[in-house]
Amino acid sequence: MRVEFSFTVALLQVSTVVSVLLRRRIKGQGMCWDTSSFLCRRMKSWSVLLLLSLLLLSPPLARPSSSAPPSLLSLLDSPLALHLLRLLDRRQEEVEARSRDDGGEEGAFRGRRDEPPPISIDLTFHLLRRMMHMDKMESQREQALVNRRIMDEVGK
Amino acid sequence: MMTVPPRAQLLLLLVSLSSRMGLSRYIEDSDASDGLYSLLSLEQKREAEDFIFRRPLRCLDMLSTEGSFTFGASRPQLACATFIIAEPNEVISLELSDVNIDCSAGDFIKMFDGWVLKGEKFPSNQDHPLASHQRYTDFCSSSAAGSTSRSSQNVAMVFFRIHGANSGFTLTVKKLHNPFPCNIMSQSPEGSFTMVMPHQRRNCSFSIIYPVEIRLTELSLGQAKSNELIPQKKVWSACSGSGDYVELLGGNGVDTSHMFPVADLCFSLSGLAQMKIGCDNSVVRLVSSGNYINRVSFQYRLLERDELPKASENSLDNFCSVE
Repeated sequence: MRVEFSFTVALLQVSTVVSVLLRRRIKGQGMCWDTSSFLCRRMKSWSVLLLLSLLLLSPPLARPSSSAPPSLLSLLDSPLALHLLRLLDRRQEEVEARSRDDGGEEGAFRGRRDEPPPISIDLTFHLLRRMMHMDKMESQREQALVNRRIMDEVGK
Repeated sequence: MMTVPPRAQLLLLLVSLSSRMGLSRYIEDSDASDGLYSLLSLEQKREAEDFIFRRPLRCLDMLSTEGSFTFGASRPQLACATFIIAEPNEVISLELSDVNIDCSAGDFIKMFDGWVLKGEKFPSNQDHPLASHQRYTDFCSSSAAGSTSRSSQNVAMVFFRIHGANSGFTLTVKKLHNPFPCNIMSQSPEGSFTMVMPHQRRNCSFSIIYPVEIRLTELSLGQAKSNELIPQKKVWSACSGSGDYVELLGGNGVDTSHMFPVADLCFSLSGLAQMKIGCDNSVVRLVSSGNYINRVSFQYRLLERDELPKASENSLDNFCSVE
C-alpha cells in the first residue's frame, strides 16, 4: 500500500512538472495570448487531460472504506480529480467565450496588446490646417467655374 | 338642384387619382434641386449630371469635394496619405477602381474610417462603433469587399504605398447624407453647429483643430429641473459623472480620449457661456445616457495670436492654455 501510494504521488509530481513545462514553453513563445492559435488552446487542454488520465490510471490511493478496487466513477469523486475537471471546464468556457467575442468589448484589453501600431502620418497641425485651407480655396474656385457655366447657360 | 351624372363622377375620380402621377411629380423634383439649376433645360441638366469632377491625386492630399481622383506613380511612393473631409452632416463613400498595384511586392491601399494623425485616431477607439481592426479596409486582402468603404462620420483617410513606376488607381469620393451626425471634424475655424443626440447611448465629439473661443448658446439635457438663469461665474461647475453632460476638451492631438477636460456642464442653459481654448485641438463633447434627447448649440471663432490665453507657470508640460 505504502509503495503504491508513493508511486502514485511520484507519478502525479512528474505529470505536473511536465504540464507546467509545456505551458511555460508555449507562453514563452507568446502563442498562448494569440486566440487564433488553435494549437495553444489544444496544448493547454492536453496538459490537464494528461494529469487526469494519469490520476485515473495510476493505482488507487489508500481508501479506508473498501479493500476492493474502486470503480472509475468513484475515483472521479476524489477532490483532486474534481478540481482538474473543473479546470478543464473553465478552460473550455474561456475558449468558447474568446471565439465568440472576437472583436467585442471584452477584447479591448487584448486588442490593445495585439493591435499593431496604426499606419499613421506625422503631420503637424499647422500643415494639416494649410492643406484644408488650400483645398477649400480650390473647391471654391471650382464651384465658381461651375456657377459661371450655369449663369452663362441661363443667360442665353 | 343639379345632379352630377355618374359618368362625370367617375371621370372626376380618375382625374384626381392620376393627378398625382403626372406633372405634380415633376414639380416636386424641381423643388428639390437648386434654384438656378431648375432654370436649365432638360438637355443641359443631363449634361451637368454626367459631369464628375476629376483631377489627379497627389501623394499627400486633402479632398473635400465629390469626384474621381486618379493617382499615377511616376516614381515609387512609399508613404502616401489622402485626407478626406465632408460637411458635418455627411458621411463619405469611397470606391477604388482601375487599380493597378502589385500586392505581392508590398504595395497596399488601405481605407480608414476616421483620421489618423501622429498615431492618434479620430474618433477615438471608445467613441467609434467599430473595433479598431474593422476600421481598416485593405484592398489587397480581399479585392471584392476591399474596394469600397463607407465612413461613419464626416472624415475618412486612404493610405497607400506603390513601388512600381507605372502603377496607380482611381479613387471615387461620394458624399451621403447623415441626419444625426456624431463625431465631427470641423473644416473651418469659425462657424456654428447644433449637435442632437436622440435617445442614443453615445458620446459625440465635435473637433475643431484650431485654437478657438467657444460659446454655448443653447443646451438641452435630459435632467433639467428648471430653466432658471445661472449667474456667469457658476456656469462651469463640475458634473460628478452624471448621465448626460457636455464637456469641453483641449489638447494637442486628435484623439479625444487623450485630451484634457477643461469644463463640463450638466444642466440646461438658456444664457451664454463661453470659453477660450488656446489648444491645437478644441473639442465639444456631448455625453448621452440614451434616456433623453440631448441638444447642444454652439458657436466658435478663431483666436488670433494676441488673444491666446497666457500659459500659467504651473501648467502641465503638454497642456495648452485655457481661459
